[in-house]
Amino acid sequence: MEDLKHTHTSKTALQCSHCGEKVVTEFKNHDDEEHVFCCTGCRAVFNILASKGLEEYYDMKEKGPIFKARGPIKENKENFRYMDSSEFEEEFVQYNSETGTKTVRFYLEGIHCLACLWLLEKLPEFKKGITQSRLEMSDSVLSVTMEKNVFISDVAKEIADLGYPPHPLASKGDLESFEIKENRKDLSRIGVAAFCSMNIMLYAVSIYGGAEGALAHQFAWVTVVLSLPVLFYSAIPFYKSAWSTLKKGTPSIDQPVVLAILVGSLSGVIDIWNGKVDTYFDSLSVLVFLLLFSRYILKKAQKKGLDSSLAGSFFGNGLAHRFNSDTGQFEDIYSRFLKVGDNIKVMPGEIFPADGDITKGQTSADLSLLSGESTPINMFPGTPVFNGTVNLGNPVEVRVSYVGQDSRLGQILEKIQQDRSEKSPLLSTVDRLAHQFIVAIFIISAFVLGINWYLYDGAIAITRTLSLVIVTCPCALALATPLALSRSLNLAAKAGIIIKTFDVLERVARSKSILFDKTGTITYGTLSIDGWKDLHQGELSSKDIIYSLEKFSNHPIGKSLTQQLGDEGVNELPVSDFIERSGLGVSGTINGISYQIKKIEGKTGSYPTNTIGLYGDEKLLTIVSLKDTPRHNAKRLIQKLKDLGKAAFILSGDSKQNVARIGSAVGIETEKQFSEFSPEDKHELISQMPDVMMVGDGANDAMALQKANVGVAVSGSVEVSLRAADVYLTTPGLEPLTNLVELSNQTLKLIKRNLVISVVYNLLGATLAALGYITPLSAAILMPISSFTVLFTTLYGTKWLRHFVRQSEVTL
Amino acid sequence: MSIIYVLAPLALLLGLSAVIAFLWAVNKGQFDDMETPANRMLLEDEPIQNAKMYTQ
Repeated sequence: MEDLKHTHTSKTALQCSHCGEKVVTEFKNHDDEEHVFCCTGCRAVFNILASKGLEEYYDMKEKGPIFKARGPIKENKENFRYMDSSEFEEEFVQYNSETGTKTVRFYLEGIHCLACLWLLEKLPEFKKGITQSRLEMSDSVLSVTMEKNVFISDVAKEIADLGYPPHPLASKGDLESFEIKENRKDLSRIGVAAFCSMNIMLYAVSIYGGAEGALAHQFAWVTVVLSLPVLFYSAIPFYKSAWSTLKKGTPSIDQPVVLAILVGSLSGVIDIWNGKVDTYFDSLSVLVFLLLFSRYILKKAQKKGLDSSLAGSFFGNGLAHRFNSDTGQFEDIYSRFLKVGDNIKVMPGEIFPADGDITKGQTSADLSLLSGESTPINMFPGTPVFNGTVNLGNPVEVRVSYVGQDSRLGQILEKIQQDRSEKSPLLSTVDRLAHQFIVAIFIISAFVLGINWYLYDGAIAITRTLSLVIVTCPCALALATPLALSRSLNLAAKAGIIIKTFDVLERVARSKSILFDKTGTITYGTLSIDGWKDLHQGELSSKDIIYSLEKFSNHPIGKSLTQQLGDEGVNELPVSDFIERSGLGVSGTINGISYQIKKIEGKTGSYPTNTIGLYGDEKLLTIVSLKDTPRHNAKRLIQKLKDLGKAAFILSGDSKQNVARIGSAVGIETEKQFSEFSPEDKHELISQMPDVMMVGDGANDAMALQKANVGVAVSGSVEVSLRAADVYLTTPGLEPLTNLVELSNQTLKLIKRNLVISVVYNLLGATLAALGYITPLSAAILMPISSFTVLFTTLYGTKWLRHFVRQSEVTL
Repeated sequence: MSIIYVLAPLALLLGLSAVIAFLWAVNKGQFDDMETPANRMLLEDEPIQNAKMYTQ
């Protein structure tokens, strides 16, 4: 067995000099022992930075905060030629005639820290022709201004080579303007509420301080007037939400809030009209302000982790080759410009840029984006193809039928966006409680009103009911829960865990078992060469032959082989008649001899599954066995998850042997190993297990991930994964998973604690109010006090949460 | 004490102008990005010492 140069370290904690990830397979530069990298992508970026004298980048990384953890870099292979076309210029480029420059805006993937900002804004210093470069970190948008004659594709390639894949944004401001408008509206409402409530407070304080007489009365009127903007502008979102849920007949947290506001305002005005001087408007406006504020923070937190990764998918895939009937050639254009009826060509390895039908050629495609299956499907003229799927085999020509948002992919993404914006900021357990609470309030208020009217008189009845309604306002629910959730979501994003919606946290805490996919999740997923046996020695080295053939393959095994052999140093031989058949391996002719590489035939059971053979003229020449290694901390982390109360299972399509081997290596018992499961089997199993968490690859396990109570995607492209999964881990490995589970548990604990405080307070307050011990005024004072109390206890968090916050600021 | 009838409206007007300024700033996009300027402050303006121009 030949010994290869790769070092599989399982004990030393070598860190990638560029991205900081743990290094499993070392990649180095020749003659450089100081730096080590986790992959060729990181090494490439390091070299680029070094060649330009930009090593300061690494110093920057130490200096500033990191917003999102981020994994290794994927090497850039695009050349962005379509950005030089005139069509592109028209829509995406803005010209400034005075300065003789043009500006393009890009959405960038991979922005995650201060060093990114530093590097990108320094572009003018190391790229000729660029005059200015400004980055907006919250949106990951880069505005580059350059001289008129600079090629945009050049600039884009530079940015991509540095590790930030760019997607151009239309100059007339498109995708983001809706979000920006919403953001501005929210801020305006908060600003108005803040101003009004604080000024109202000024006047109210004087009344609390004992002012009397005409002046006090006038001040009371001022508070009424000042509260009008709050009531008629800032509080609108609450009215809308309470109304829509009322129409549907479901109780919602906004209903008692609106009730308190309306009843409080009305009776407040009536009281002041009748000469009383007490005012409740300060509490009401402060309430509105606090509620708006906490919801805003939650929105921002959800947006932070999620949007910046999903937004990339809205831009589709850049390149398309469209047939131009004038020139008779296929020209490169930006896929956004495709129209129905265009004829395009899609090369092997490229992504279909739109939905359409094949007109010429046959190939096989990877439809995992849509179907969850990564087994290649064969396609012929007439077969429909879909936006986002990968062309594996041969070049084909396609007639476009649906583009952009009308394509299947576009519709799916739109639905995801929609689903996300509709949820109310409560967890389902809290929601149920809130429903009961709300209904209880209405009933009790009616009861109190009735009894007091009967026993005493109308005025007293109304006063007591009013106090009741104000005191029992569900601040803890409406305020503290969103705050706790948003904080946890932020922490998760910092740790590289992207959570789709906040209710995921509760589902994670509630789940009892975790199903792990094997390949890529528990193991590294890269089939490494384990053994090499040359049965016959020909003139050509078997390594050279295999490398040369697998170079053209799009299959994961082929790619893995190519990379491993390539790093070793092999000679590439000219290949003709290359054919790749899904499931049947690759074949081609070198120097007149026809070679094949495929899974070993013969007595099954005598060779473990991942063994492939090189055949020359039908004769077996070489046997290569591939191995999948479990992650070095898998055993420890799985044990930790068990300690946290989850049962661990392996779910895989691989053979029993392989699953058993990995299972015993990481500590999962045989009864909990499921092997040789097809995607349908997996789906079936999951539907029988109620509170289950599935951890797997976003593309291959999409169906299973979607079916499970919580789906966690550990790799694969973000768009695919998040379509099916609820959580996406940007950094490889199982460590984020344990963090996720603990985070969820602790968040729930915190929220429950808030609930307890709130219930106790409300019971007390309600009793006192019903019996007449609390005036509406004191109720109005107590309410913000309770809000603040709950707010502070939320921010104080739990011991674990505080520790996690400190940790994430230190280690990342 | 009747001065308060001058002072109170004045104070309110002052506050009102602050709100108007805030709303104007929001609509001009000043608050669209609150992260980047905070970070940009941490960077220094000096040109990179060893930067080599990509002359291609």
